[in-house]
Amino acid sequence: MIINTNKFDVICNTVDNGIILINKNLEVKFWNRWLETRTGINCKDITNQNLKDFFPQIDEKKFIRKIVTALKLNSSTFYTPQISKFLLNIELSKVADKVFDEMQQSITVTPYDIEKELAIVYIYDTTILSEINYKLKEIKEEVEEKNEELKLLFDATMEAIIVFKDDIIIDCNQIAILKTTNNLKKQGIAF
Amino acid sequence: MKPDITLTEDEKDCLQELMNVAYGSATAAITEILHAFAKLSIPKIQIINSSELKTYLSNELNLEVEHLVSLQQINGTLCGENMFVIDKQSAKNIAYKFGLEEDEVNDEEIADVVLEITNILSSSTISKLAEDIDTNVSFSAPTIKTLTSVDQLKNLFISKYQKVITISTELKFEDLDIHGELFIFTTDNSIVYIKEKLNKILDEL
Repeated sequence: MIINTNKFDVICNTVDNGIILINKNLEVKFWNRWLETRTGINCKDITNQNLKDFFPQIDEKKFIRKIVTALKLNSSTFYTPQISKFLLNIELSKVADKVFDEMQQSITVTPYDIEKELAIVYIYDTTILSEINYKLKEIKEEVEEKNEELKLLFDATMEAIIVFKDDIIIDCNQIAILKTTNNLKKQGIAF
Repeated sequence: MKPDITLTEDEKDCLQELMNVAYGSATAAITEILHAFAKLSIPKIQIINSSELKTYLSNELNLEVEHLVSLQQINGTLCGENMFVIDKQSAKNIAYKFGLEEDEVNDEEIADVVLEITNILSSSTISKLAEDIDTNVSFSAPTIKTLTSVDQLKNLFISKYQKVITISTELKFEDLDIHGELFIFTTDNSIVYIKEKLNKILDEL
């Protein structure tokens, strides 16, 4: 398929995400400039070639399933970064504060021509978001660990510790429960 | 004056009919994609206060065993959210239906097939309903979480609305024990739009 230089070409080659026009046999029919610069593979070199020959790590069965489903439903199918980290392994050039070696991606597979079994694959770079999530997860685990340590410390002390917020008890240690219970019992208060 | 966001019995019946047709197209899509005969039970339609949604879900779902919950946002005039809930074993069985081999079935693959089936159900049911009531919709990528109690489902999206229409159905496969439930939640503005379109259909009868 020859794509003429027209508005479609200009839009596809200036947009900030990857666009692949592909058939259900994984033959590439269009490869935009974003992908050329990120992968180092030129559109003319990959056109009419099988994507798997360039990216052998692709789960072929799953990818074909997504394309076929999109064509049969006439609606988009997705790879979410929550489950699949990436479709194409694109190495990141980032050096400082690096979390991932490969670009993390969100993928949308949209039907293009049902009769010719062609679909458009949109690739979005979600690395920054994934990095933030990764760091947040790490911090959350750290906070949980510290919280556990603090709880152990609270329960190990012989002093009663009660935490108030806006005049309401929000937390206390075991000794505080024990001492309060004993005091109430001594005063003959049932609870 | 606030718009009326309740459905009359006639409107409810009409929506039920439209949903039956929409679910028919979902069944056909699943059968075609998975090459397996699936059955969707007759959809149950209810309009509830959004504040009661959590209680409603606790009553509807058996969360004694681990479940996977997938949520997919519906965008357009008919907007809201689809929720597909499936127990882990049924999700595993769906993975086999998707052609995965025993050694390929792991937590990530199971989650991926649940997302896929949610997308199939959303696209086929809602697209058909949207077509019938003269509008267009698009779908966001679905998200997934593991659920062991309804409290884990902090759905901020729903809390913004007064009422939600819940349309629930069961997905069953003939030859394999798979049981999942699909809920479609629509929002106040969508209810107003649906009402208007349902009345147009009813007037034409």
